[in-house]
Amino acid sequence: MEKLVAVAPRFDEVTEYSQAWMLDALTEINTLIEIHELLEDLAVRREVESALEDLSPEWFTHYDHGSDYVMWGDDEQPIINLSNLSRLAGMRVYCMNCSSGKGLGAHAVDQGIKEYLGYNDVVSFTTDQEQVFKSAFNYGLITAIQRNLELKDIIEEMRENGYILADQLRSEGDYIAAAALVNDMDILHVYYEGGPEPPEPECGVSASLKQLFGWNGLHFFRKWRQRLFPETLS
Amino acid sequence: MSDEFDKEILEVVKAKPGDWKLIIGSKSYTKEEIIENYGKDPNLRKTLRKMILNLKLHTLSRDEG
Repeated sequence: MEKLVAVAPRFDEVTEYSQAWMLDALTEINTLIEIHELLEDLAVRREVESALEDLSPEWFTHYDHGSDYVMWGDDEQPIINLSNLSRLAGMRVYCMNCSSGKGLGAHAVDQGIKEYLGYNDVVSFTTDQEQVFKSAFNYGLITAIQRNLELKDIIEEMRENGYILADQLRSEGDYIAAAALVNDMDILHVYYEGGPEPPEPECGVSASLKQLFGWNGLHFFRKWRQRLFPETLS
Repeated sequence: MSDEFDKEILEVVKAKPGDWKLIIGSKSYTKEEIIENYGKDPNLRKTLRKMILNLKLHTLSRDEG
């Protein structure tokens, strides 16, 4: 049976929702995959790295705050960033966090990650429709594992499911929730070997480095920048 | 500076019933906070304009499709 390391901190209002969503997703798949949960004080870098090393899972999921180059932990410190992204090599990564698709996802394939599904910008939702958003956000993980599919094979179905849910919200007159959900589905992306190239870096310096040295070279420079000036890549 | 689109967005916010919050990343806004801060918070305004504009485009493409 394949293994899944599932990480969900809970330290504020948003992570109360995201952790509950992940736990609900896991109940749908817990007979199909061996799950290793890291919640609250276990959802920190040391525990995550240890679980990845000990279990060598095929799957990794993170439900929490994210930013371009960071998946955050319960201690509000990075659990995954450019320095240890390669620890996810060989895995399918399913992120329900903001923006990490844009930064970490763009480097995922070069770091040996099989697939990286994530959001390329800030995720939004309305609390009164959280069950609808949960359904949209969990769809890909549940579907891929239940049907033994790759993330690249389910992303369009996941997006369409989200759009259908958004259309229902719109037909009920809930334009704010519908708009948030459409936006979330628009920024959903999966990176994989042979897939579409990641979007070009917006920063001119990064674009030039990528042009000269490729994604691997850019990863090297960004990793060093992160070590020297951590605040610039968070 | 506000325009007709801003007024439309605020009408949509006001029309959404019940007790709810809009979560945008790590930020959280009640209906009243959106109405109060819309003109003062450029990020909130920019995000809501983009969201509603995307919904309009999505609706057009769905209706045509």
